[in-house]
Amino acid sequence: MADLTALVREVVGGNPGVMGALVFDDEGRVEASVGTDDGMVEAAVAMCVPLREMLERATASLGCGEMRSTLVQGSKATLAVSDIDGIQAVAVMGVEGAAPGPLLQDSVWLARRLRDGGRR
Amino acid sequence: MIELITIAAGVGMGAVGCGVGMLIGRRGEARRAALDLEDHRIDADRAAENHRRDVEALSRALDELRGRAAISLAGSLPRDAAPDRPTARALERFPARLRGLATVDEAVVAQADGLLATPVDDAQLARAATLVADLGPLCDMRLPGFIGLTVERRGQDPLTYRLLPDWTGGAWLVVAGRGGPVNGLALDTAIAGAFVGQNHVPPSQMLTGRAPPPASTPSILDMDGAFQAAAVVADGELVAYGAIGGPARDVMAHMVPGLVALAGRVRHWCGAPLTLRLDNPHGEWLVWSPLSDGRALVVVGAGPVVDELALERLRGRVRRITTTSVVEVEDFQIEEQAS
Repeated sequence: MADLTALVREVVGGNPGVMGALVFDDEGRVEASVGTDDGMVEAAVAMCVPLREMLERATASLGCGEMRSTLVQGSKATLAVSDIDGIQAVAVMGVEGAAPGPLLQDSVWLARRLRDGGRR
Repeated sequence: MIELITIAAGVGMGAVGCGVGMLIGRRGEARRAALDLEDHRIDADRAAENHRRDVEALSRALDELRGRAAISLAGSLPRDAAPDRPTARALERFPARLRGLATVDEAVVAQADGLLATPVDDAQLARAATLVADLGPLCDMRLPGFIGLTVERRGQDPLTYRLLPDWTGGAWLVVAGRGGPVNGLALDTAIAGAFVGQNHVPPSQMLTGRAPPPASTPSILDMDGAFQAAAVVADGELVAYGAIGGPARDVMAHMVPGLVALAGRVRHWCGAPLTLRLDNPHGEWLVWSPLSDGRALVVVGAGPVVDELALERLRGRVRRITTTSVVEVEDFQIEEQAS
């Protein structure tokens, strides 16, 4: 897998709305994280793993195909999740007030770059 | 005898001197002929280059006319009243009018929050459209009154951004040109033609703060009057400025942080820009042109076309002034104010 730290640094340099990012799998294992503390990683994984599972089922039932990305927009913070390879996914966390579009685009871009970079 | 030898030697020296003189003369003639030939070659090259540029300009003008005529045609379709909210069906009307035109590769609408409002298959354009989330706030605060942006990139099709009318809630139309940039005025026609009663003319800061007309032509500016104002930006600061009735220095200085931020965001979402052109609804434009040493040239003018040759000449002049001799540029400014 490509170097997440370098990629996230590139994203943060161009998009000040990004606070950090993490890569996790469908069993909740965290492969890498940048710009996040332990508590934040734990909370994000606790939300993202069941969310992905539920959305996968829902999209399959609705005939939407494989789920590529989703955006969780809170009143204070926004989280964008994009699928890497069906098992792993990348979550991009925004700072307070960050616009959702750029977060979603950067999570899609990170997922693509991590997928293209191959597995470790 | 000695006298005869002296005379003979004198005649001999004279002949040698004459011969050398003729040789030098011939060499001088040869050099002049070579210089004439070189001048002739330079003139011929210049004429050929001018001819090539004329043909290119004509071809561009023809393309623009074709594009404008086609878009005007698209703009003359039957119109409904502008909707009161940005529904997907209403927003789709803008790119739908442009698709299929010769000068348009693809078009999409992005909402103020950077999310796409209309579908697009082109992943690069989808990413480029995300710039709208930064462009909107910048045009509200640091770059007020601008409603259009054209991004020229090396080796990639240019992108044109246009702010859509108020009822869209700050959405922008993003168009990838085919070969060259899509004419902004033609896009305005298409936008105005989509619905009835949706004019949108925000106030422009550039129009309110004008520099007084100078007594003589400022040195930093091109002499042919292609630009109303010019400035050099280094390390995020305005380090040189000159104007012929263009925006005042403090107006330009106010815009510099916005321009630096915009250039950074464009690099992130669209790739490194060759030039950025911002347009306001009053026909005025501002061009941000990065130089190779990290500095950037900013020029302001009016009218549909930016004089590319004048811009290149000015870039060349500014490029020759190194960062360490920025004071020299400031001297031009002082010279301009003093005269």
